[in-house]
Amino acid sequence: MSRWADYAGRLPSTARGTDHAVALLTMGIRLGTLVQMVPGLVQGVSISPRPGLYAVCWGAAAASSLVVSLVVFRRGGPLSRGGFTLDLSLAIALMLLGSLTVTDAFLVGSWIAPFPAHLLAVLCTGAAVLMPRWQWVCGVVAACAASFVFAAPAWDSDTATTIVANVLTLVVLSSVGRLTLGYFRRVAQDGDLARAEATELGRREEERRAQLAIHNGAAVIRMLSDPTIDEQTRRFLQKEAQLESARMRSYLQGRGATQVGPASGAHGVALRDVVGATCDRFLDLPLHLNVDLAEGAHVDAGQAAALDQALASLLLNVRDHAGAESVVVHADAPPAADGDAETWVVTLHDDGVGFEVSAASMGVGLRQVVVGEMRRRGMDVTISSTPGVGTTVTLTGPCLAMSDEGTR
Amino acid sequence: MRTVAVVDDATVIRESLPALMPRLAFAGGYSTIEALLAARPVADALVLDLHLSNASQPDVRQGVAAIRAAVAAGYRVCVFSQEERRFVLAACLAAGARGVVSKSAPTARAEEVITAVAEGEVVVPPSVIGLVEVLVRRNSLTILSERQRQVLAGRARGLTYAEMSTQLHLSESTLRGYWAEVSRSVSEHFQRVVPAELEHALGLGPGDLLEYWPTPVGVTGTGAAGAPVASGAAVAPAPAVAERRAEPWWRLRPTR
Repeated sequence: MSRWADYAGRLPSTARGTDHAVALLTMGIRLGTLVQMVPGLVQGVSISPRPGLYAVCWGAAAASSLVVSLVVFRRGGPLSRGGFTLDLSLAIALMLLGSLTVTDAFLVGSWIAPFPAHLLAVLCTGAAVLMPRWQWVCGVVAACAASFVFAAPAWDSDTATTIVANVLTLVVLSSVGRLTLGYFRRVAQDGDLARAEATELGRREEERRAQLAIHNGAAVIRMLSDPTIDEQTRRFLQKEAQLESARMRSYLQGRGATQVGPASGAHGVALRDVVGATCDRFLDLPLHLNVDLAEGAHVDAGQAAALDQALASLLLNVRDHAGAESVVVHADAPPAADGDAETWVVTLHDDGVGFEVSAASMGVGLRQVVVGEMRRRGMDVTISSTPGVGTTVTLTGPCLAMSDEGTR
Repeated sequence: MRTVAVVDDATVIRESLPALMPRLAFAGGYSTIEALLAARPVADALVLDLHLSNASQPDVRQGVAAIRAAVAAGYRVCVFSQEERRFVLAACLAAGARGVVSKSAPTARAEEVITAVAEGEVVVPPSVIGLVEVLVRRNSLTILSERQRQVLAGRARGLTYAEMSTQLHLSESTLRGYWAEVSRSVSEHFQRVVPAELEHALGLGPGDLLEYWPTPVGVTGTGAAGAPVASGAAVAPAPAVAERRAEPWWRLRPTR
């Protein structure tokens, strides 16, 4: 049972998924009605004036419910128009024949005579079938007429209101069902169209990004291939070619795909979004981004802004001074020991020229934007560098929150 | 000197690699994996491009199918490609490639990786190291030694062996040894793990890796990065998305 409940929650929210939901609904109605019919069978046969005919009619109703359930299961959607016409015709015929098999006392309000309930289930099945309105109205009118004919022998002042209410139930339930299912179908179709539109827009955006990524590179390559260019121009073009190559690589890595900055949510700003958005502004750097371990870590908006500025400042330094072949930005939110506060660590490493940390006088950018502003907001910065080997900057700070998707 | 063969659809790559990588001997260059398998050159490693299909050879085997064909023929495969998507690169290791190096890497680095593969090492590309860290953190991949974990953390952060040597007070050769053990564990894990387990460990949706990941021998479909593969081959391509859509409707997954 739980598997079915689980399955219902996993149905796709597409037009096809709506058809699958209709199939499940139809099966539920038909098999549910069949189960309700079973307890009255034995008593119905024993008190029927025509027990053989009663059993045949009962069996036909049960068989039609089973067949329809099987058909909608296999189709993964509602009955065809022809199938419904056949189903409804059989249900009406059973109403007419069934009235001969049950005594007047059981014609109204009793499961000894299950044929009206079966007719209602058939009409509800039809509510999901695509058909012209006139055909639907004809079907409902025919069902109402059959219902009146079935109950007519029991008509008196006591049963009149019940008989009329039963007929109205046929009209109301089936019509409301048809309207509601039609609406759901339209919502799902609109969803499909929106998805298709989003896919097309995504494709166009991808095309635009690809053009941006390669159009400068193509021009540089063409100029480089010119055998008549002088040595100075060639050196300049080679430098440009390196930058364009890094941009193309960034595109191939999928970086720079988002045009908007990190969004602030209930938990604050996601750390990996902050880092990713900052790095996306440096597509010309040979940058590797490893931020998976920071999934779920969040910082407040002020810290996010300070981190963004610090990281951007550091990457500017790398771009201008490091001459690095590889830059790695790593973010982590390591598991905290019991009682300790959650923290995050962002590491920026480049394999460039490096410098002597003790001897270097940090510029305004590093001293104020990176170190000063970070510490003022409760975060910390450490820099280690070895000439000729590379530089590692480690930024640490407290997590505002760890959402459920964290890596613990 | 190690000997390598090259399979790349670009003539300029096949013909320029011997000049650019003088520390390697080249046993031959081939435009398709089929041509290589027909010639069967003796080589310590095979330098293989992932994307081999082009206008003049539209239906050739490529992607993980080509890797598996070469591995089945006994070659140590080093993927040499512009492909940067990390799940595709991880799938290459899952298909049996011993190393992956980007065509945009400096030539010296590419030569170093190809040589390492030719010598029997496993070379995990930088973009996949981040994935490995997540798998270890989430206990999907077991790395027993603390030292191996430290080296993995250092590599994921881009540290050189020289920097790690200073931090951990170990020699560079010892650190390289630890990293070689980690790389072998990663390669074996990727070849063993089923996509669903990896998706769960990496927090991906069900089926997200099906387009990339190689499947057991005997299945037909599409190779890595949607690459078309020849049916009836000795290697197994990954199942196509279309295959998932052909499933009975009651087994479909929700739309995301």
